[in-house]
Amino acid sequence: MAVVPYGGGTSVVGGLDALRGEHGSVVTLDLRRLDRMTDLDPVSMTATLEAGLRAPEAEELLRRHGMTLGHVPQSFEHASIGGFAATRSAGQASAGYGRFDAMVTALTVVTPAGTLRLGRAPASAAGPDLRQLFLDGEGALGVITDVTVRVRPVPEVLLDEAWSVPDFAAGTAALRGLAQAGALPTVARLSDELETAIMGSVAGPRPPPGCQLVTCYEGTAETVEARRAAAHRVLTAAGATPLGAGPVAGWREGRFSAPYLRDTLLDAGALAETLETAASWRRLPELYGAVRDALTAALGASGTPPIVMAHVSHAYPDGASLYYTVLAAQAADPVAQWAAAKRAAGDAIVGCGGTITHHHAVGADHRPWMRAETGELGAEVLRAVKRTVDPRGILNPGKLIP
Amino acid sequence: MTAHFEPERPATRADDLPWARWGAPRPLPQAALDLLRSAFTLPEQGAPAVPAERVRPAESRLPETARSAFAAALGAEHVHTGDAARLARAGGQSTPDLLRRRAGDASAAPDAVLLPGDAGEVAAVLRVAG
Repeated sequence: MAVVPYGGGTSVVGGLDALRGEHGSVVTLDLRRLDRMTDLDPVSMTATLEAGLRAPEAEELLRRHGMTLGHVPQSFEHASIGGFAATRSAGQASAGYGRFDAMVTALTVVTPAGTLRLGRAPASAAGPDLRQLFLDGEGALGVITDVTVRVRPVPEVLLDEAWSVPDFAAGTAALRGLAQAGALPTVARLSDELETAIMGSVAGPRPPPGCQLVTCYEGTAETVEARRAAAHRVLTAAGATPLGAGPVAGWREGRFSAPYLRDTLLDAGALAETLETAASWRRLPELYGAVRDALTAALGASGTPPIVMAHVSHAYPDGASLYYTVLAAQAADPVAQWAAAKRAAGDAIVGCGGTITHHHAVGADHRPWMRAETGELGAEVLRAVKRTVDPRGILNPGKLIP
Repeated sequence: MTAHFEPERPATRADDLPWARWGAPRPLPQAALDLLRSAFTLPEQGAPAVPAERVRPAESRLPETARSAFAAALGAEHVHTGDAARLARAGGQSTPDLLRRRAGDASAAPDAVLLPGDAGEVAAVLRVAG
């Protein structure tokens, strides 16, 4: 019998479909009753959270003690702690707080072959890091039942600032400057020209020219001021113009609303979907154009020319993520329509040296490109791990493992 | 020395996802609607979803022996084979997931939903399943 672990139900990569594989039946293992904070260590600044806690519930528990996780993806309202761990989640404030996989210091994984408790020190040279092997196991390598994560004090200060840059190339250069100077704000999100124009025209009568960069700083008054000063030097030198806090208010207010608006778009007969990737700074310009062009061509061929807009939501010293939003009219068979577009985009991503996913994970939908990520030997390593912990292949068949 | 911490549960629970949606309907801003209608030809009547009450999953294929083994491990109240529990876990939130469910397709629904209470019960479920 197949077993599909289930947290908040927010997978966007087909990670939760109850595929039977070679089995006669399939059960969903809903972890919602694993809903406790079992430890809070104010000396080490870590908390142990059970996997079924939803993000708002975990925040409520931590804030009772003046702490926060600072993990705020768009799925925040429903997503679970176990889901964050099992998919290597990244959030809107990951520049400041780190990706979820970087916050996890220890975890418990229950597998058909036994239970692993991994992680006993902040860093270790005791062989390859098995925590990282089981993070992003997507329920195919075991069921994560709790994680110990680094926590921070609830920030004293939140400071928002929007900037305008002349174009997307200037904006990515500015983000690269911030990341390489160690001056990234807690949130740094750069919209391309089309996303800036569309968001701007919805927000008010005069859409801003160029591209908009949203920045937010969180921390103590002292750290926010220092980081802001460092960021200002980089952004001003890169030709960015400050727009004040105003435009960020709209982003803050709508930061969780996109999935609701997608429902409304689907109701209206539109197709709306997102996809994401990441690459080195050197490859990013080519990747950015290639994915947009592939989506435009594939949906054009279906008779439904799309609007394709993008933003950079995560910047690193060596590269960045790209997050695309795609809108079109629904064709007669919208599932097939999107499948063709997704195939074209995935091929373009792999062809340009990007990763098939920066933070949505693999599930069933990205599995066709996994071999391109890992190579055949890498794929065999993953299969060998799977055979060891799950010899009968009962855990989430048809997902992740190429 | 480790200070003892008494485990805590949240006072407020997160909402559950409704069938084939992220949440309660929210209107698009008028400017966004205008933009959409100028860019695309959309059907006047929209593309309404099949009402949730008309969607049924296929018959559960969970063998009776497995159901009683799960009930022994978790308590019968934590083993669900009814339509509502199975439909509520029929896939995720990708647009293809939503499009299929909106069309009334519940083929991603599991045969049963199990609610373990701790890591030991998770291990017990895997023993029964394997």
